[in-house]
Amino acid sequence: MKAAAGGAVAGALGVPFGAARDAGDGVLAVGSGPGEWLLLGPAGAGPALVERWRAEPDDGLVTVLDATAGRTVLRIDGPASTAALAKVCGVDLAAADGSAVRTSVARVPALVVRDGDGFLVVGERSYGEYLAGALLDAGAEFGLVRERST
Amino acid sequence: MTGTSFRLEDRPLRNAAPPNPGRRLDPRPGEVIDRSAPLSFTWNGRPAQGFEGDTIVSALAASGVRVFSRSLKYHRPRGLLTASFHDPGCLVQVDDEPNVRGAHRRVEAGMRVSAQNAWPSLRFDVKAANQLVGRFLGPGFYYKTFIAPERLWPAYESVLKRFAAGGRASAEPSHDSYDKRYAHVDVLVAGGGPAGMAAAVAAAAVGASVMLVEEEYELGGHLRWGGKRELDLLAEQRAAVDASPGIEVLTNSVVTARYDDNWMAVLQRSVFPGVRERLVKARATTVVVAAGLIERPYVFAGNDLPGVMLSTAARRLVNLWAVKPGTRAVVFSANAEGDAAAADLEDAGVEITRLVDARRGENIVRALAARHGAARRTGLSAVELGDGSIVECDLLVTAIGWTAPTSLLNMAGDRPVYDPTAARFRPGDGLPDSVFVTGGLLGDGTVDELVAHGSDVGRAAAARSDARSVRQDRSDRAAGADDDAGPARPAPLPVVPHPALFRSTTHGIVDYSEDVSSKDLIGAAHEGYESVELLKRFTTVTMGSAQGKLETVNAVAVLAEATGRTIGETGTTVWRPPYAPMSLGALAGRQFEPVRRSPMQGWHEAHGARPLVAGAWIRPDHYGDPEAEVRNVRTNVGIIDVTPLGKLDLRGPDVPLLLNLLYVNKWSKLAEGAVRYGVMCGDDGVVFDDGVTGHLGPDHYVMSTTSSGAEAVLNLVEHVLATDHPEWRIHVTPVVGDYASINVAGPDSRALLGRLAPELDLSPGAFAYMQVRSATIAGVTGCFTWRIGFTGELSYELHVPADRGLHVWEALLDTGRDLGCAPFGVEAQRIMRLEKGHLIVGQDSDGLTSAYAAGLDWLVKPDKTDFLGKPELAWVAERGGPTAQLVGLQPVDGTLVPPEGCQLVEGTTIVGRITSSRMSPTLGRSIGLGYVDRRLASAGTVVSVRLPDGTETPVTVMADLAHFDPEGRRLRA
Repeated sequence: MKAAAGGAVAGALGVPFGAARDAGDGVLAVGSGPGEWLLLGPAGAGPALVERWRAEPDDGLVTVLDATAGRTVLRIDGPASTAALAKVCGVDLAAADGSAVRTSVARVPALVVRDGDGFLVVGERSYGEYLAGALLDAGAEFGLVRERST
Repeated sequence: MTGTSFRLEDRPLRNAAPPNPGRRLDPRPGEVIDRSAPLSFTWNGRPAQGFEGDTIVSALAASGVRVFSRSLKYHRPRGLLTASFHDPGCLVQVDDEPNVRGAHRRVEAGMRVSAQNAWPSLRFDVKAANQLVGRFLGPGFYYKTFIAPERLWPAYESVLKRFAAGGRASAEPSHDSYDKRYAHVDVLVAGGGPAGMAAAVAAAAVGASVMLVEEEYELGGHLRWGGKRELDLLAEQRAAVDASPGIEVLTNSVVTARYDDNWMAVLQRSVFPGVRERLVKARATTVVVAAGLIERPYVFAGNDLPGVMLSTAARRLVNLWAVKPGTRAVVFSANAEGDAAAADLEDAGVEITRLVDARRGENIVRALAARHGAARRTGLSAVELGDGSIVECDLLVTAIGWTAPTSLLNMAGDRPVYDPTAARFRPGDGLPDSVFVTGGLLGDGTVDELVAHGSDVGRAAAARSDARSVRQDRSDRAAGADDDAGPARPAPLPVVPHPALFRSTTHGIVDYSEDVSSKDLIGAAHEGYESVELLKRFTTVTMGSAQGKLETVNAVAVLAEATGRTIGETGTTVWRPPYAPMSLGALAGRQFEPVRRSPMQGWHEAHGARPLVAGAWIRPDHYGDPEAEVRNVRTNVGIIDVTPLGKLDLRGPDVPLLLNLLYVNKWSKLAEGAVRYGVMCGDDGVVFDDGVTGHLGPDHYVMSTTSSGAEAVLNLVEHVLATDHPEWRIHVTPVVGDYASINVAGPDSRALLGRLAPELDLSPGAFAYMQVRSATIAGVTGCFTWRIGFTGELSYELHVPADRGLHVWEALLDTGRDLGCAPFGVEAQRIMRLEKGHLIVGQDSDGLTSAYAAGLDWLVKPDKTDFLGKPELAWVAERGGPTAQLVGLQPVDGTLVPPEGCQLVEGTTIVGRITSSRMSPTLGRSIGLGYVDRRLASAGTVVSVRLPDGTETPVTVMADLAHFDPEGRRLRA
């Protein structure tokens, strides 16, 4: 989602660049760039979310795209998640819950969101298998295992 | 001569349990070995024993081994000197790993350990003959002797190689790997001795996150080999560290470098099984350097004989590993640590035959080697003292002072100064406010004073780190206002006067790693190498495995003596990273090779696709027979996975302005539902990327780019929007991963697509060439397709939501079975586009190809107000056009396919080159594209191609770039 950084959409979302917050209905709103947001909702929520935000009062130019098919979302959880992720990501991961950074994970552009004890790693779809493999490799010394998403 | 200890070395090591009865002492209070865990390994092929916790060298020393290597140049036998990581005489080969620090690496069951630099064996090293001619092998000997005549160097080299130092690197790839991680901490403490531990605990107590890095396997520093008071304090401090959750302890690790803003490189060794080393890139807000002191050897004749060691080595052997270092000892002491070593030795049952006290002006002159028996010339037998007396002994312990390992301080910008009172270098006043020093590196004191100072420094470092983070987070950063904020630096520790001892009245080894003697240094100084930096490079002093930690100060002292200057005036060489040698593997770290896969890649692999690595993407090159794939597309219908094509979603009222700026052609009047081909140039007029852009809906466009150029084009677009035209109302979103892209090509493509998209009117009138439509394909909504033709056939490029890509791909094949629908790969596509004469940016153009040279004159619109590259292209046009021109080429002999890259020649002059060349299955002859001088570019001209074997063959310049269907009837069908 793209809209003016200080506009009505930004106000309604209430989450600046570098932060994430629960936007209700199981949706996590992430400030993924200046004037740019990523909304992570439950499976199948895409079309409704697109409708909801396209209907926002006009800020000038507002773009809402359903990115469901184009992203890979990995969740790494557990007490060693920071140590494991620190092997493939150079930013300070000791940040507070709900912080979000655009960075590089195992040399791939990614959005990293601190979510409770763990992290969400959002990357481009085509990198999905590679990213999962790189994280499993990094986490091997901590006993990281793969779980199916629910 | 005192025989037994010498001969032990030459006896086979016994297999009996308990292992190594000979020199192993009764349990010591601070020992680090686990006597319940004996283990076996081999030393030079013979069985050897040790305990868990032993180093390779402590285990061998416990069996009486005294010689661990031969020295670099003179192949002199070398024994223990420091019994630590830096011990220059203890580099050994372990299995396939050369140059292992034998005095540091812990012994493991089954290790195969052997001596290095010894040929044919440690005992009978023929190269030891070098020491007989040693006086001819002075510094620069190799430079001076073998420089001429140059043609003989290969012969010299083959002989000299046998004399080269080091172990054997395995030719087999190692199964071990190297790792990397990042860390961000408030306070990094380099050194886990009493002051370092105290600093870490104090910093953590006020909430700082701390990384505590210790070079040895355990925290404690010199407390570990101290007496009861030290061991009690050690237990207390370790408990405090364990009780501090904010401290991460890295043992067997070393801070190898400090870069700007406390970017600290930490090398972690033996991280976990299979990982030899790991580089930790740590960003620390503040750093506490508590590196301690390194004991300095004394320079005298015979100072490198096995049996001569430093007081810390003797104390470590006795107290950590319960090894008796000798039977009869002379101790040369200038300080309390030397006296303590004498006491420890006595306690261990070593007879102290003489305590030579430097503080009373006593001296030692030379160490004498055994002249008879099996230990001839391999070990110490007596010491000549300053008063002329000769004392028989098999152990000489020296305690004459310290080297301050100031490396990290130097890297932080400080210039340590020589303090004649302390007889060592001490920190200067050039440290940044984010770097602190404590412990022996700073000054002297009792262990309690060191701990107290460490605590003060830890608290100050934590407070400073807090002040700095607050400052960094504050958005209204008042310029420089709070640079001096934060607590003051604790007062430095005082120093205790220490005698300045460097060299006796005789000459001895200064650099044990490089075999450089004090005589060599004085000779070099007399040759004119009076600058310490020049002296270092000429003699290689300080350039060996110990990297100056043992020899720098002695080298400076000898040079000062030779030149009549003080040590302060002489100065030191620069301490550069890394502080301790590290492997290249650690620098390389983990290898990350990102791989991108389309949603259909699994299908391709399951169907025999030969993979093609294209940038990060893995793509199908072909499925077995690319020429058959071409024929199928030309006669029936084929599908190709083109997901890697760059795709940008462009939205907003000002998109046409952007397109007009980026592309060399006109874009203001692209109707909704239409697509257009465009070429982008750089500011230099050189072709940068190409692709089609479609007008999908109101204020909505999708731009496609080449696969390899996708990222560069996105960067360019973002750059233009962010800096040149922030006023344009445009949103750009890369959507490469959002869509799976499939090109359906061939005469039957319309029929095939019609079956899957029944609602879409595909009649040529309703969906013409270069049009785009939104569509539902095989039941998948949200697709769009444009009618274009890279292959030259009627074709539709489908873009479907990526998660449905495989479904559509399989539906096309299923539905099109009766039409002969089959997949084709990148190679077939390349052949077909060459038949059609379409250029590939990057293959048929290079970093100098202007749009005019690439045959794109028809596209370039110089009457546009502006576009990227316009001034340069105008200049090219003004000068009469490019010098070379892209043309179609056909070898006169149609069976011959000249390799791509062949030059076109006219006599001895190069007049062009071939950029693309293939056998055309459609035409049954070879075809190509290439550049040729403009004067030769007219149709029908015959030029020569020079083939790799040196022969030449004629090729004809064609009228068109297209070899097949130049009118484009097929793709417009």
